[in-house]
Amino acid sequence: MIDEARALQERAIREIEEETSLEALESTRTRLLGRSGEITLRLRGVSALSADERPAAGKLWNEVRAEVTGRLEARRAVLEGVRASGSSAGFDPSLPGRRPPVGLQHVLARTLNELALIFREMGFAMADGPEVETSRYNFEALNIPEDHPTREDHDSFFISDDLLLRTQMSPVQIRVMESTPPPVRIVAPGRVYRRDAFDASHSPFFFQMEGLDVGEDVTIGDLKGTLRAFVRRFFGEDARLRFRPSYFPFTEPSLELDIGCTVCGGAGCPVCKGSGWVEILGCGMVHPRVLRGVGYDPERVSGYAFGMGPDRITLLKYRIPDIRLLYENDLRFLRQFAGAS
Amino acid sequence: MKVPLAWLAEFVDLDADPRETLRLLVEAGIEGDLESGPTIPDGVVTAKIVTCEKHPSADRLSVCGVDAGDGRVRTIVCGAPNARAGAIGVLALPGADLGGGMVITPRAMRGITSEGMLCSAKELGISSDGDGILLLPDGTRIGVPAARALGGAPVLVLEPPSNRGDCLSIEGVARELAARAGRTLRPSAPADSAAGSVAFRATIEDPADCARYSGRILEGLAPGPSPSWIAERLDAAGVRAISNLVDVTNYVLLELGHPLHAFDLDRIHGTSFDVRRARTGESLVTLDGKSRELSAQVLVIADESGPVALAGVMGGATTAVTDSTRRVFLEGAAFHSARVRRGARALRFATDASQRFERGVDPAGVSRALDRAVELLLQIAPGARVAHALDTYPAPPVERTIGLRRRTLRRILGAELPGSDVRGVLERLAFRVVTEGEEGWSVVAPSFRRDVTAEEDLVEEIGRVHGYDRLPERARSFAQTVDVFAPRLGASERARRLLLSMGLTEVITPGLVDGARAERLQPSDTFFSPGVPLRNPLSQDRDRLRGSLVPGLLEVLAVNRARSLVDLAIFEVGRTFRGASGSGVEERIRLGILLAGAGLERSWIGAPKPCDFFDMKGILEVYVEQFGGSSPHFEVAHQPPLTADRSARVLLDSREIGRLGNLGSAPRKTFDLPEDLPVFWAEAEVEIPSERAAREGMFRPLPRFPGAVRDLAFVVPRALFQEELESALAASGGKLLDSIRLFDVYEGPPLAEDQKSLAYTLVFRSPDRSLTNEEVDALVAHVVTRARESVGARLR
Repeated sequence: MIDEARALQERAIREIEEETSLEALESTRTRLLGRSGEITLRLRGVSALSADERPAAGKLWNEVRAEVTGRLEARRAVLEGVRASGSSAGFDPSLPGRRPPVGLQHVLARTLNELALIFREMGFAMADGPEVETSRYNFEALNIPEDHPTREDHDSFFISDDLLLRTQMSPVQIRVMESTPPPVRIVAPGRVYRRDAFDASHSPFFFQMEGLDVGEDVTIGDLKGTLRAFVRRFFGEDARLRFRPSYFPFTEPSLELDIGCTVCGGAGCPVCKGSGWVEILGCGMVHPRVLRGVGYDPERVSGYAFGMGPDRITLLKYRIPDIRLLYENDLRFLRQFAGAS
Repeated sequence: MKVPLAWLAEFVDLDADPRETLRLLVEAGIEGDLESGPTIPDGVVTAKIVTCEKHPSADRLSVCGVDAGDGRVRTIVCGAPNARAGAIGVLALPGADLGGGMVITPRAMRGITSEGMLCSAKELGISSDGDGILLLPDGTRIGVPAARALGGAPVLVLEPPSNRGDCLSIEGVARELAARAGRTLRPSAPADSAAGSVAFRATIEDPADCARYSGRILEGLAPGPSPSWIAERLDAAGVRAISNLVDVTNYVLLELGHPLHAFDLDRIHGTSFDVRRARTGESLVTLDGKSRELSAQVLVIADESGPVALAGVMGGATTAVTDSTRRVFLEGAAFHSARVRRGARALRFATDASQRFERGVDPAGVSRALDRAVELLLQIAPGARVAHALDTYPAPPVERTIGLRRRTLRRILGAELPGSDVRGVLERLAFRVVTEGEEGWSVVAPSFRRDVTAEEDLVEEIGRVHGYDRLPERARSFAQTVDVFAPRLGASERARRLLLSMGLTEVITPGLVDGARAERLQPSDTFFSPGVPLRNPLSQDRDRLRGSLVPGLLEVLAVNRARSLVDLAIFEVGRTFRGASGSGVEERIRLGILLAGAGLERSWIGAPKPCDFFDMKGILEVYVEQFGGSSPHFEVAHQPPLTADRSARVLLDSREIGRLGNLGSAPRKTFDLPEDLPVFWAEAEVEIPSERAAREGMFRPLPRFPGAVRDLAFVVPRALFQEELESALAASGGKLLDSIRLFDVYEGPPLAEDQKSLAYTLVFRSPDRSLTNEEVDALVAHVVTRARESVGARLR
């Protein structure tokens, strides 16, 4: 009898688990536990047994009934849940929505916009100039005469004897100062070109953003304060920064601005080459020769200039390992920055 | 430039931590890195292999007796083929942790217990060389921790700014460090070389090419290897030791920054040198064995027979020192930087010496550099003696005083610095303060600071040594200004935002393209520019400034398709270039768009709909209407090979402002795109005159009376453009026709093959009353009649 009870219980459980609707489950219940159900009949048959068989048989079949009843209830709960979610009525809200297309701006454009916004809010106007420049605007007016060693770092693409692709955004500073008397507060973002071979951190074409603030009583203090405000806005309030001496022909003094490495927090890592600092921009006080060249009087006005690489800043901010990813435009790459603004 | 710390320490006291030294230098304006030697673990020492025999029961192993300097010979089993008695190697003793879980323990190898391990360079982490054990030069001291013997001290790798030639020397670096840290510099101070009896002269043709030409003649030399301390120093600085004479010139170059050159005096013709420009037709075989044709751009040293050296670049082969050299002319000179640069450029080669001269060499330091070389030679080459000292210095530079005003300091640095600080900084940098007064100071710069010529240069010296971080800071706020200097940025920004709002993805492509390929794709015409060729491209695939954005967009498609991403809706706003009259270049901002595959369609319901001409046209319609203020006209254009059969010009006020089309076969082959992939491109101007846009933006009264709506379907010849019927309807509807909208196009039965049906919704409306049904019916009848008369349309 024990074998028979086990076999019936197993079959009953199997049938219960296979039902997929509440209606079918109810008919299975009737067949097993109804007034003339299979298990009900077995239980009833116990009274027909001998007195010494009765207790064991009664216990056995009651256990079967309890187990099957439990399974039935559990299955009913599952199927009721399914009905409540509505799928049997053909409504499945878990299907993907029909999404309107969202325009994704390029991550580099995002950086350029963020930078522009920060400086505009500090009162800098946007400025613009040609990508094809004359040697005078790209070099001579910036105190970089022929034979100057800086020209080697600015290996240029030439169009003709005198026309070249600008290697920096500084020509825009000259053009603006030539066209307007001081004070001048501008930022100029744009494409620049240098004859550097493509590798993970160099590209023959990249962006630069330069800024200029010239007027009466503009000192290194203003340079430091303005750039600190910028770094805090862009990299976060807790960003650390350090100014250190450098050399550019068009500024005197010349400085470079480092920020505490955003990857290791200053402990030292491959990104900061173990130093804990990462260079983000060059800056300095505009060289009197440059001011004189545009007709400003360096005895009356002074100012600072700065220049940064939005490509490099983008790589740093989003921890992108290779500048080539920016210009390759793999859609999977572009989509990664959909929500990063 | 590599600067070994031990060498630097001769000139200035250093901190124990080399990172501190680096930090001080970086703060002084010299960028760099710290390069440390390999880190070798404790318990690894130099040791001598005293005996070396074959292992009795293993062919490939040997059993060595190794002396690690502690008076005991250990038994070491070794598998390296290069183990031999007498050699000095590196022994890892039991307990040494070589990393990667490899801890040395005494262990039996084929029955013989090895009390340690002789290591290969690979096992020590020095190099990838794992063939055989690392052997050290004979005479290496044994029992020394290998970390000391091999690891070496860390070396500074410095990159002084390009205007600071004076920092391209160990002494120069030490001076900066001393100034920044407030320490004392111990400069090199060799004794003057005594003059001798040999007669030798030098003449300088033009002092503008060479400010000073000096030399020392030494006799009684015995060429041979340098002592190990010189060789090791050179090695640490990255220079290979060759022989005492050459090594000393290199040593002085590294230490003081003056390139020196040694001539074999016995191979010089005559008793004088001319420092002059080369003459046409002259040539010289240089030290490297190459014959060089000279020109008047090149400055040479010449003896009676002609040029014997390229001044500041490289010596000649025939006068080079050799093993048999006994008498030398040691040259020290101050060749002009631009002259050396032009000469090197004319000859198309550069050397360490030429690069050093290009950064500027201090004429005043020439003599001292020679004296230092002599001092070293007398020390390491016994028997050597000075036979002559020559110095041609036609016009020593006049000392110039530079004024520094307190007012300027305050105006630039934004701070009032105490006079004692200013004076202190200047003096630590070897400047001489001549006077100090109410107004400021007058200062004389040291001869080696050729970069300091004006007041602003002094301001920088004060600022950087005082420390920029210590200067006060202020942040002023300013009123927002108008972007008057960037008239074109605004249009670009508006175009970008409009396309983003339509759901397209922005790309930024290289502004340089493959010129030949771009021209094959799309021959230039009034709309498409051929771009502007570069004179000196880096590579043929980026040899031109783009004339159109389309090739760049196709490159993006090709890259993505190679990665199985073909559903694209992308755009770029950027400049295109066209050569203008004269030699100028015209820069135009344009919008490029590319749709491929399903384009913008992203639904999961139903089959993806391939993009088509009208997806692209719709984008352009919205774009032009937003920018130009009225609807553009699209005119069929045939423009193979870029397009196949569906292309058009976009006209606004009969001016062409854009083009669009489906991609032709030839470009598909170029970019490896399948024929069945739908691809549509467009390019349009961004700077569209927008006076009309401003006018169209004005308020118009809203309609107050209901419109009467009528749907009309017409049968027309299949070849008819719908716009012809639409304009006929518009013209005949008069003032009361409020709007026309096409809502259906049908071809097929029951219509004849050459017919199609066009269905429009017409709305009639009067501004001042409700129209009656009769009025509207009459208007419709008139419209239908006119449509039949003008374009042959009949009501369906």
